[in-house]
Amino acid sequence: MDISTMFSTMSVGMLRSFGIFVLTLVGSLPLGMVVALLKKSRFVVVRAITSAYITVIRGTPLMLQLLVWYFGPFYLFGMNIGNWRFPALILGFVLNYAAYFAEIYRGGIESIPVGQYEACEVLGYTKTQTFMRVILPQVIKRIMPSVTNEVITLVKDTSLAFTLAYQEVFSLAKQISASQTSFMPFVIAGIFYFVANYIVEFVMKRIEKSMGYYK
Amino acid sequence: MLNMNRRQFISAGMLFAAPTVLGLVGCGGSSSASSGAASGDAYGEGYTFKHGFDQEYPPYSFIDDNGQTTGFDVELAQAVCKHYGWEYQAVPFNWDAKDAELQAGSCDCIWSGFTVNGREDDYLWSKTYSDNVQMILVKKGSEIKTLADLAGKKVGVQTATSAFQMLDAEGEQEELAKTFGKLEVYPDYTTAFTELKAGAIDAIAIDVTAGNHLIDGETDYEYLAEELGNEQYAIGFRKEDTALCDKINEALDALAADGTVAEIASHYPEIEEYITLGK
Amino acid sequence: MILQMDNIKKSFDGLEVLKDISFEVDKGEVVSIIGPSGSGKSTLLRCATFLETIDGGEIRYMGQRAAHTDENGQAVYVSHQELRHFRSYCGLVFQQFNLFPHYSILKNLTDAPIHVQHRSKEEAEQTAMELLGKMGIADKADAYPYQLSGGQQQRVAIARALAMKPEILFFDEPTSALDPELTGEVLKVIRQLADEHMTMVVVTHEMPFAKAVSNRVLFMDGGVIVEQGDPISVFENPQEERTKQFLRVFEH
Repeated sequence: MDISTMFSTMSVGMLRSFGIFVLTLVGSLPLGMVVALLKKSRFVVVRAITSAYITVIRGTPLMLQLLVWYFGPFYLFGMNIGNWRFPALILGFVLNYAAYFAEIYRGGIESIPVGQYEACEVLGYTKTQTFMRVILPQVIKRIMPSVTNEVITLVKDTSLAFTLAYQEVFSLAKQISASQTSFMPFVIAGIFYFVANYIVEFVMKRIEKSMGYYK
Repeated sequence: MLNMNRRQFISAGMLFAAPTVLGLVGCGGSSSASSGAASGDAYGEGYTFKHGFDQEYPPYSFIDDNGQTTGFDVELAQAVCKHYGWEYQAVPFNWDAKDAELQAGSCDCIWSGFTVNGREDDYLWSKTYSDNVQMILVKKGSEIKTLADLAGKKVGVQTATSAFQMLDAEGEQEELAKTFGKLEVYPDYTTAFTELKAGAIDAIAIDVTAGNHLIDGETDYEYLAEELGNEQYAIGFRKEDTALCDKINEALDALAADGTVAEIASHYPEIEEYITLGK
Repeated sequence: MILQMDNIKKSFDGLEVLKDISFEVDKGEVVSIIGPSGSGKSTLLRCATFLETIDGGEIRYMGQRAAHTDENGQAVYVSHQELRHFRSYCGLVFQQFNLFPHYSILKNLTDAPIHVQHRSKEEAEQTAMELLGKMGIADKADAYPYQLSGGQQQRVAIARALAMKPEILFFDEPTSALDPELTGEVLKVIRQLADEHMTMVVVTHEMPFAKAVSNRVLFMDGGVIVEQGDPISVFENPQEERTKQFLRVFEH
């Protein structure tokens, strides 16, 4: 197999890796905020469940979680999992990253001085207005470096999709490497991840810069 | 090198994680999620045949020079589908997870250079179609000439393969494995072969068919004359899927008779002599 | 009568911070509250501005009751919706300014009027610019809080409170977080507001300022109002021993 065939074969996998990346972010960034807010809920039960969720997700390997989401429905309920591979994969990634983002959000929210809330209260803002207009924008700025870290980790973590034999770039690299007895597929995969993260870093820096107008 | 370490790490994780999960959740599960179609009618024209295989097992199932999924097993499965007018669906899976994939119904069978020996009671087996000889691969001119010479040496093997099971606890060659200096277990033979080239290990225990593919185009490697073991390949089905198994057996006979099997085998000279179907 | 607080009680973890305090402010009056730290001055202000809930007593604004003690001795507040209405009567200037760092100075002044009071952007901005002009920082409208000195930030905070057109403005030690050379510009602004008969309650440690600006001075200690009266009599002829002791410290 020449390099260009190798590359074009792997490009399908790159597209799939990119798909995992985008869907995970689209799902977990908002879900993380929901989880972070649930963790501050008035109801003890809700708080306990949210804490348990975060603890379990952060305390177990993503790889294992993916296996649970994919094979769980069969082992627990005897369901046929014929078309469940990709949904299980995305579910596993989203729920995993939501837990990490939730903790980042929570840290960000808690770092906002209480004076900001009091100023809003005295000015008559509703709770929603306070959060959306004053707290959240400041939280986003503060958590950007941590979010960038997570996003970069996610780019690399997409390779864990191989656990469920989803044919993304890393799985394909393994397979082509096996048939071609060549290390080249891994070099291509490595370059792919590196370039992807280079772009992520560039974009995130731009976003951070756009919020640098205040301190 | 970085990649390799990561892969080894991941594979180790897989080995640890898969049984744990399966064991944990297994207690609540039922035995099968198959459609359980008992009558042959369910496998009429237009049936989607889900071929479960390891995409990293050349020359039976792998990605070819054009980036296409192929191999002896893939071509044969496709020929069976053509024979019945079935829809062919490739379901590449991780070898470690093959049982879960089969039981959970994501595929109809395990058909990927799958060794019968030692697993006789675990699956419903089709007729055997290929011999599979396990050999020891060494560098030409190596001081290792017999199995006994492996004492104190480092031997590499791919996890969850026949050669591995043979050398593992309760395997046929467990006693031999105990004489090794170390048995290095790899996620795939490509890594093991790279390490053999680099001198990190002294020998590789491998199915001869997979070994032939590995040393294709290389001249510096040879097998020991002594065989490690001899086994047969067949297709593994869920135990209740007798109707499907029968259909496949019929098709294999038909394809052997009309020369299709021999034709496909000729695409893979390194295994041609081991194909037993129709001989 | 703008504000009337009767028999206010407030405890934190069993520690009584306000012991049955009664206190009222007339329209146009400037009241200074002085006293050692921990005397309950700030808590009184926070209860008046609804940042803290009282344990007992009654709070009235413009004669309307915002909170009272029911037959079980529990303090009961009006509904959330009504409370927002009461909040609109009062403004509060914090010791730490608490400006919104992500908003420009102008937006700090217009955001609440537009989104809380539903005033038009044009009107809110016009009011804001007038207030900034009055505070002497009209040129900073497009700047962000971090670009301003502490004194300037506190003047923005005062303008932000005034932009809501409150009936009464509270100051919680407005110069305590400032470098000494910056307190003057803030006190000058408060003095200017006093001249315009803005109703104000100022918790402060600036004795000369309290003496010069207030109509009335309250000395608080240990959760009670120990002494109150016009500035001259409280500062120059205190009746209570504790007041004398406290003022002696400040003479040095």
